[in-house]
Amino acid sequence: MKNVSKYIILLLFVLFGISKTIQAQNSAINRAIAYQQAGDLDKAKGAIDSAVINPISANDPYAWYVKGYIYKSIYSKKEAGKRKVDIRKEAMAAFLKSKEIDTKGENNEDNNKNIKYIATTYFNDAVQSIDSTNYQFAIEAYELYRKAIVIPEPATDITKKDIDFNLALASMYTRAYEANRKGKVDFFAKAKEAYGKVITLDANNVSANYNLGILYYNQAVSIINAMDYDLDLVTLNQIQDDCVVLFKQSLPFMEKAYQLDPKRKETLIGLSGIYFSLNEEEKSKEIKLKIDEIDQNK
Amino acid sequence: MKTQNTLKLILCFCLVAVSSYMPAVDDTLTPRKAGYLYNFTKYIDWPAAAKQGNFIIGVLGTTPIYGKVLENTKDKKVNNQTIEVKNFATPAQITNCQLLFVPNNFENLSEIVSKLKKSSTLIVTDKVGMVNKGSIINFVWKDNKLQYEVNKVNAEKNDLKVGAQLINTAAAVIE
Repeated sequence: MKNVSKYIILLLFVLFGISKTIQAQNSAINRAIAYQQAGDLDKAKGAIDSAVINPISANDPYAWYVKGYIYKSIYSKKEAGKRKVDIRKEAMAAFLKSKEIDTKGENNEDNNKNIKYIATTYFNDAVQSIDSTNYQFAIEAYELYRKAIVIPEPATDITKKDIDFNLALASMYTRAYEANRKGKVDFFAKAKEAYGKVITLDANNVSANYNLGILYYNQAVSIINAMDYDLDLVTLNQIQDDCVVLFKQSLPFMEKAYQLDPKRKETLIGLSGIYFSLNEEEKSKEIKLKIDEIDQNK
Repeated sequence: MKTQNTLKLILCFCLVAVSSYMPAVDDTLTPRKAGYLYNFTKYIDWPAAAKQGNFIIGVLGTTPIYGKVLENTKDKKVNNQTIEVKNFATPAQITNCQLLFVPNNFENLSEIVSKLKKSSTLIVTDKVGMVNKGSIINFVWKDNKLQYEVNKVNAEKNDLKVGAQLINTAAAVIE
């Protein structure tokens, strides 16, 4: 009987100890929240980082949600607009962890809302960074957006966003390349790739077809115009071969753009130029007549 | 906290303007023809008398080739001869020149050929069949690109020697 009493007392101590530990952990989470609300994000981060590595709360979906929320707050206060993604990646990882262990789905709505928010910040960063200096960050941010936005709603269709983003990227590459062909040599291939992605997603995209056609065409024209007259005949011939390849590469895209929008003057001018450069005089004249018609009907 | 009542999603899905680029100038032939004209001078051997004074490139009629040749031969020389580019409005105005370009809107080549008989002028034309009507070099289209054919017989008549590379890279050679 005496021994039984001993065991009961011991058990009560253990249970009391566990209870105290849980309370301590809960208070660590609450402390983190309090720090966050008071605006002391460093202390909030310290408190929540300790809580999520403690075995007692390591599997608490709420603790991970709070971690995500605090990290997201740090991003909003300290890193928004700075073209950095590390803190957001950690916030995202915390929300994902919370979702993963949240078998009852108690935090699901809040996790999803925050994941969408982070996805939106990635998208905004991507859009705002499409320039010849920050384009790599734009691509990184856009990829993060793509991965994040489908997490709350896997059926989300982002095709239109993919098209818009790649068109904007291709447009920037083209603009930078046209402005500095020697300094931005690699932008020609990058522009081709980006327009190509758009056409893969939407074969009937007028803008991508037209701009890709013009990219090839203008490249050939630029090579011809920059021709050094002291080149020998073999090289002169080779330059023409290279340009014929470019004109032929341009043609199907320009023809497609024409098919999709037969009254667009820029397309007609480009198409006429390609036919002319390939010595398809009749076709070139036919297109020029259409340009005249458009001019007359203005 | 969980209600996130202070959270505002900033949905600024900015529309990114996608520019359309204008096609570059569509005359891709003139620079090529002008480039060839200048290059031909490197592979033709003119008789000694033609190596005196300025090296005159004549361009007949109204054609953008004149301006392009003028622009691109500035400060260039042929065998130490300063290049001078002249524009002849009509065949009647043609005077002595080492090279004459006849654009494709001139039908009557025989008049020009007889005028330049024994003048050591390299006659370059731009129309199908001209190589058999007195032209020495004629531009042709082959494999979607501008090429040229050479009539060695006509060259010899004008006392001109055609270099091997000009022959080797020609689309056709008449001997």
